[in-house]
Amino acid sequence: MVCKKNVLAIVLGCLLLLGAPAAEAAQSPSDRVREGVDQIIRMLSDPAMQDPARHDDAIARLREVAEQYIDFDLVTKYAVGRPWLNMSPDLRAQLREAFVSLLERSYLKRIPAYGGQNVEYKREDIAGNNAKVQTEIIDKDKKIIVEFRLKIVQGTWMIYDVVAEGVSLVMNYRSQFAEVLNKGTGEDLLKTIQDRIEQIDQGKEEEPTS
Amino acid sequence: MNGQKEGFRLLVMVLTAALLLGVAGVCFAAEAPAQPVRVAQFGGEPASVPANDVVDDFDDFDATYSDRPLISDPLSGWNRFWFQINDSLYRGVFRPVAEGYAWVVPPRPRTWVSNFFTNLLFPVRFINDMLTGKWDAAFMETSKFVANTSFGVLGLGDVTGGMPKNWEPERPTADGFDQTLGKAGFGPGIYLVWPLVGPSSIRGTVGWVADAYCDPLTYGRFTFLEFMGIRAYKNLNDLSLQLQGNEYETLTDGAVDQYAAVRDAYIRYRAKKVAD
Repeated sequence: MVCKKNVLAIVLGCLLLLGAPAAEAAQSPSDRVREGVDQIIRMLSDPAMQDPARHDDAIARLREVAEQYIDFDLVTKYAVGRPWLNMSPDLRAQLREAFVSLLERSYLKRIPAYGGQNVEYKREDIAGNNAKVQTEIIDKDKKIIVEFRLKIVQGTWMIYDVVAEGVSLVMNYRSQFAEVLNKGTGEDLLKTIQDRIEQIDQGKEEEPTS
Repeated sequence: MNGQKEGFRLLVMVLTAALLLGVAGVCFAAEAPAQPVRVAQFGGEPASVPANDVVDDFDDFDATYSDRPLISDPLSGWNRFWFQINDSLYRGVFRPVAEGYAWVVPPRPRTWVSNFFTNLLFPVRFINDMLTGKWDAAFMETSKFVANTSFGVLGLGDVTGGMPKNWEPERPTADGFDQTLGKAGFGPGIYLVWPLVGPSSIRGTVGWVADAYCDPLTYGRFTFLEFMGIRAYKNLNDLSLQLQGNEYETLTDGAVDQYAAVRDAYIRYRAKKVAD
């Protein structure tokens, strides 16, 4: 009888241990995306965010929130593609920083234009450590299908790609980066990104020299 | 008599469909010689020898994009050239003109113009909905067309705009013959950039020509110049309604290679439309 109880205890203990990693990512992928999106929308509806004088401050705060939900290491790695495997940790860090600055200047700055939209959560597919969350963003009469892709990173679901109407952000950059990496090195890619950032900062909208 | 008429109409429709698909078949044959130069994913990514300090999960990652389309770009010289011209025209001419137009004309009349042209293109959507078996979408388009043409005063108003959810078809309505061809199994062929028209493919070009045949405007008694004028005005009006946060600018502003960014977006967007 005692023996049986012990066995039961061990089995239960094992179950609890097995359950632990799952419990760590207790928040479902959809909930993660919803939390991030809600937080961004709440920040954007704050009138202080729309104040042009405090624009840089607003961007910095948005980035801080974005970093909590988006794993930019993964975003950069997948955007660079296989050449990433041969890059030094130093180059990787620089690429990540440059790439995030570029995204910040192009996409984050445009977020204010997307305020007040309705986001509907349609579907969630989980396969092991990967998940897809499908949403519909309704803007006036237009409906845009946006899919978030997530991975478990240290026990939390993190976004690593956004697919809008079939166009993946990561894959779109990979096709661009491939144009550089086919001819040049990782350093050339870093330089190309930095040049583009400089161009944007100087308010030029011309085609980058490629 | 009535039944005969119906039968005749059906015959005409089937013949039209066959004819259009026949045209596509010819173009597909013309596309065949381009096969040998086909390269994976825009010229392929550079190969590399994996190091050990980072997990090489690229295969897993890429597998989640198994639908990722392949397109070859053997004419990238020509394409890049026209992309540059089109982009300069967009930033230097079309956008400023659309801004001026938007400044002079209030949004409401511009929406009417946009509705009018959308309503006019009803045959394109209807025929392709029928060809791809989207019966509910075809029905929705027809009721919309009837309602907007009559109560909406020749399509100027969109009286069906605020209709409840059940108005929405199960799958989005067809957007042209390119989509229909894609559903029939035709690949996009090679990537092409046309002067003024912009990004396209072999399939896209065939679809564009077929759609022009369904566009009532092409049956009007216009001279070439008048026709181009109407088209230009339609595009200008459409652009004037999308000056803020439009996709083209968002995409190209953040790009390090604008040409590659637009090519990727075009191909994936079309692939998504075909999958719809």
